[in-house]
Amino acid sequence: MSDVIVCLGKQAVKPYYIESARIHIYGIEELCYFLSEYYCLLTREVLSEKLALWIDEQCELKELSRSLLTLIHQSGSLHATAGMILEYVAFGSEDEIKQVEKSIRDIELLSEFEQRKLRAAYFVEQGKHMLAMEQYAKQLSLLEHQDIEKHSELFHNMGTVCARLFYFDLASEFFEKAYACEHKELDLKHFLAAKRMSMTQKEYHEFTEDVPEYSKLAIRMEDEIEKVSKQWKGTTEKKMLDDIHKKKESYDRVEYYASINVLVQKWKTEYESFGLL
Amino acid sequence: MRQNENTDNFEKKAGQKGIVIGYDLCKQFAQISYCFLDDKNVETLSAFSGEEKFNIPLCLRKRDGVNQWYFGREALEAKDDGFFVTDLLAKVRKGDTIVVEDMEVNPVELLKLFIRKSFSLMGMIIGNSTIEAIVITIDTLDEQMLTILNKATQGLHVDSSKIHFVSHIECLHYYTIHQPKELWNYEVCIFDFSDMVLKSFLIEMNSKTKPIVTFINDAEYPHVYYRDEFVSDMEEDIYYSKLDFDFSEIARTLLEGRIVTSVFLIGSGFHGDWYEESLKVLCKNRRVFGGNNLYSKGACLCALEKVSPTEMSKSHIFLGKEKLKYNIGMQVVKRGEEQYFPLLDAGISWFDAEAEVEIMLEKTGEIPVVITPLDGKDIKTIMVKTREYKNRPPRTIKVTAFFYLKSENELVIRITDLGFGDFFKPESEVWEKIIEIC
Repeated sequence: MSDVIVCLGKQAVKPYYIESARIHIYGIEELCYFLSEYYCLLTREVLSEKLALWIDEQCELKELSRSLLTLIHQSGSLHATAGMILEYVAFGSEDEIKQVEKSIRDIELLSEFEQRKLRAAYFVEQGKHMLAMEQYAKQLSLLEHQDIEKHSELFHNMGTVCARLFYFDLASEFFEKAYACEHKELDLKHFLAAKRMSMTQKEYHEFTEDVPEYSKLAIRMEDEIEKVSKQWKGTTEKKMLDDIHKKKESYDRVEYYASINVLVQKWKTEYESFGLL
Repeated sequence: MRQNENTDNFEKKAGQKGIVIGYDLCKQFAQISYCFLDDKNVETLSAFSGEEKFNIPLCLRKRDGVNQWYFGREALEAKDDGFFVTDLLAKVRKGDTIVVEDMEVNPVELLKLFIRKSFSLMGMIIGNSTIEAIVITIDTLDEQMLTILNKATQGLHVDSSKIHFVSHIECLHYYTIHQPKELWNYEVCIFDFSDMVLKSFLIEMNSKTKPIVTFINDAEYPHVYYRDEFVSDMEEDIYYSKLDFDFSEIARTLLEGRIVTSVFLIGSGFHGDWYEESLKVLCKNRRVFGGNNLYSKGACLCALEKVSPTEMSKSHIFLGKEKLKYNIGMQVVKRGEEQYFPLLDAGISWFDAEAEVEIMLEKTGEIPVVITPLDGKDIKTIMVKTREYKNRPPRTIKVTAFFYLKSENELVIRITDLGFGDFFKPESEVWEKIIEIC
């Protein structure tokens, strides 16, 4: 089989926007890639009549568009609709397409809460924390008040994501809420860790010493923090930072600021990517 | 001998408006033929109103001290007034600048001026019509002349995609296939005496191939040359008598053992009646025609074919020196099925041959380029390994593959990364490779 695949249809002048993933699609192959790799982000809004019309008008794939419209009007399932597109383009082998269809079908059988949980987990795994936060917020709105266990888990996850985004104040609030649900020590520990990150040493000391529950745990946590610090010292990232620092000490200011700029730019890009696919 | 009637037959397109132009650029003159798309007739512009004189002398004259240029007959006749430029084609080929009143001028600029001015003669005829195609024809078309002509035609204010260049030989092909079939049932012979020496073109069509391939064998006879100045009548008589003898010998040798259905005699060298003996040889079981606008008419017919191809041109292709002798395509996968994807068709001029296609490159990144000779035998597949795209998972390498010919036998493949929407940004580096196709 040749390793050259001829692209189908035309490149869209007006792209198709997928809100759940915050991406624009410009061609049928990109749509297929999205369906194959990001199927957990599929919603009815994505595979809608609008998409069928876009495939007609922008990609000029009229035959596929007509078939899709018929299926969508008959309230076809997401997996059938996605399967129809993948099969038309032959994006992957038959088995691969069947596997994608199965994965979509499995997700379709889940409740909306579970579907959003899956999407949030996917976003966290991909480091797309802002998108994960959106899913958590929607999950929260779906929860019954009395479902303590799910609330606890959700608040914990929200706290974790906020901490990864450096929103330590907000993170501590979520961990506190999680702790209030089920009084798990892990939530309290995370709550204190977030506080420690958002406060000065003095403020943190004053905050923990007044509450015996906090102070005991805080002392134990310091040992753990010490261990983590030691582990950090052995990492390549720490070595790289030390190297940069040495440049400052040796009065190699130009090189020092150049290295700092590169590093900060890298972190900025990484941080910005938290909200993007 | 009689003048050939124009019997061109085109498949008209309803409501089509516009004009196509054939422009013959010879060493000594230019000639313009044209055809309206809603008309059957190819006409040749008369350089002088009311006369059937088609040749526009290829020369310019600048008035002394004034930036005013004459062209054609006006330039020729305004003797002893201003700077006279002739042999423009030879000068542009040589590339030396011309000094006009202490100013160095690039001869290409002068050719550009001549072409623009001579085209202005078409102004009244074109009127409000749209120029759909211009075909400029010249005796020898090589890379140097292509570059020159591209520059020289910039002053026409016609979209460059509508301007095409073909050789004289190719014009003969188009002229022939638009003649009544009985004139080219077998071979066709053309004698051209428009330059200093006699040339011949023997047109053969190989009906065993599909499409039918036209081959044109050309020859030049330096011993048969043109003269128009003689000291005495006796000298002139002897010259023409020898000329007739030489020509009849050439015709006899060339036509012997061949079935040639028609002969065309073109060029001002055939003016007069000096070739009576030769005509006896030429007219033997065949028809002989005269005329001096075959190239411009052929160019015009070629222009018409560019705009509105006829079945005849689809079924008959010309394979000249500058023509692509192979069909070039790729082995691809389309909607899961492997198939041949045609890119460049045999028969087009190599410098006009280009194709662009959007493809996805998989695993190996190899492009199977398929080269098929016209007879369909000895098909060759060349595996062209393209560059690697790191950090791109399978099915995300979308590129534009642009194919063109650098010369008759060198195919260039240029790959430009298109990125993959919001998923992957394109890499700016453009990859290019030249492959030998024969």
